[in-house]
Amino acid sequence: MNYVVRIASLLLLLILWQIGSNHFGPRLLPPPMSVLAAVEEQARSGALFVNLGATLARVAASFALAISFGAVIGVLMGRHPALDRIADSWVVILLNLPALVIIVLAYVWIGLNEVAAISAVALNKLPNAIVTVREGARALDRQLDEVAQVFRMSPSVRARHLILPQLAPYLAAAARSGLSLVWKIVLVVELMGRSNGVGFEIGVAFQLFDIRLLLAYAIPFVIVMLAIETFLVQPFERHVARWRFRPA
Amino acid sequence: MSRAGDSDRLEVALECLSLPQTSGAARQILADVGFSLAPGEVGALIGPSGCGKTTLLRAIAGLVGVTQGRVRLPSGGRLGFVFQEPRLLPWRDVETNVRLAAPDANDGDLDAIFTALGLSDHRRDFPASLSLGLARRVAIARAFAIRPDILLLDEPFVSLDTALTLRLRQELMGLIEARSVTSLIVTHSVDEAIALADRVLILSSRPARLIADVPIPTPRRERDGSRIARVEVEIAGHLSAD
Repeated sequence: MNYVVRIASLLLLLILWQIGSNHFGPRLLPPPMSVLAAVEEQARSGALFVNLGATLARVAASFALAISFGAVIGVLMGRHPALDRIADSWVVILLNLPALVIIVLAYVWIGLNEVAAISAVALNKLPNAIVTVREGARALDRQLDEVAQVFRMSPSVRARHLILPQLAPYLAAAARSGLSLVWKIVLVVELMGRSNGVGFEIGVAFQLFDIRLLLAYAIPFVIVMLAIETFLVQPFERHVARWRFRPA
Repeated sequence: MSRAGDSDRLEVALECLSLPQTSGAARQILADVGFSLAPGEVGALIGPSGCGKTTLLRAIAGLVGVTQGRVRLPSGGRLGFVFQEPRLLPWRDVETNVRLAAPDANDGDLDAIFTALGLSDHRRDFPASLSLGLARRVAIARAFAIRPDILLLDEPFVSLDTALTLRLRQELMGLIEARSVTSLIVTHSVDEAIALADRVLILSSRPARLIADVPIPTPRRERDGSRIARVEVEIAGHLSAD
């Protein structure tokens, strides 16, 4: 039933789009079929896949960097109040630094290259991951810590069976909000300093005032990200929470 | 008692134990508690509520530091602890919970422990699906699985009904006797202390001192075998079968 509503609502959006296109003219808002043809052109030439691939690779790299560094720093800050007091203001500053400032600084300081692009995106996501994981580390169950201590569990057993399962919901939350943040910022980074990727193509479309090309990149990209969210992130969230719903 | 035997005893000689309070000031919990348990001996710790029984167990387990005095565990030093709450990992099943605490346990021994505690059918269950009685059993199984040299139990039967308490008592004592594990049980019930222990250690109110060390003269088997105890167990059996 849910699916029916969802499909109906998407169809309604297409109809509104078509009406809007008739009203504003195809130059401002090309009709759906024309955009679909543009997608097909880009796919045939292979450009669509090259650019999507480049963007996805950047998303993956910066996401992985932000989540792994965020997890480690977050756990350390959550477990050690002294460290937390020192680093907390840095995290707050980073959290409030506009994405654009980080991107420009990265390109100026590191150069117009891949390293700068990926670190700029990762740095944008990092404070958010730290804060989320730190919350999880603060909520770690002290009673279970004592069990581990009394039974002399090894550090690796503690990490795998005690800490990670407790942090998993927080990591999943960080991953979920992280992914949507990262892929938006990746486009900006590409627009400003890369010569391929969806963001770069959108920049080209902007200069040529080619809305058809712009949508031909934007829509497949949104679909790919939605697919990743639905088929990777959400199943992961359900997986880490499975023990909560175990029936009697 | 021979010298070689002495190293197998649990020796507790505490002169002072203070814990920091939320206000920042330290508060003395234990004043003067000294006793020792021979191998296989079962002690029951009893005293007014809030007197520091749990803190004493935690000090023996090394979970809180002793301000003055010392604790010596029996040689081997493997310590099994049954907390008042079962404290199981909710995201791991029953058997994994036990095995994580006792990675060296062999399958035969685990089978025996699970059977003795009636857990054989629950090995793959997750803690959320267990009743309190079953969860307590898992916590007990975990403590036995490490083949403890000393077993500490903090009110292992609290908030269970009478029928369940009596059955679990029998299962627990069966395991303690079969393996002759030196054990120290915190309880608030005099009945329970008398039923389970070889010696009852009585603490004063806070800061706690050991005010009496009362040996139970009747062997445990005969206590269980008394006609009243048999009727008690029979009634409990009927109740729990219901």
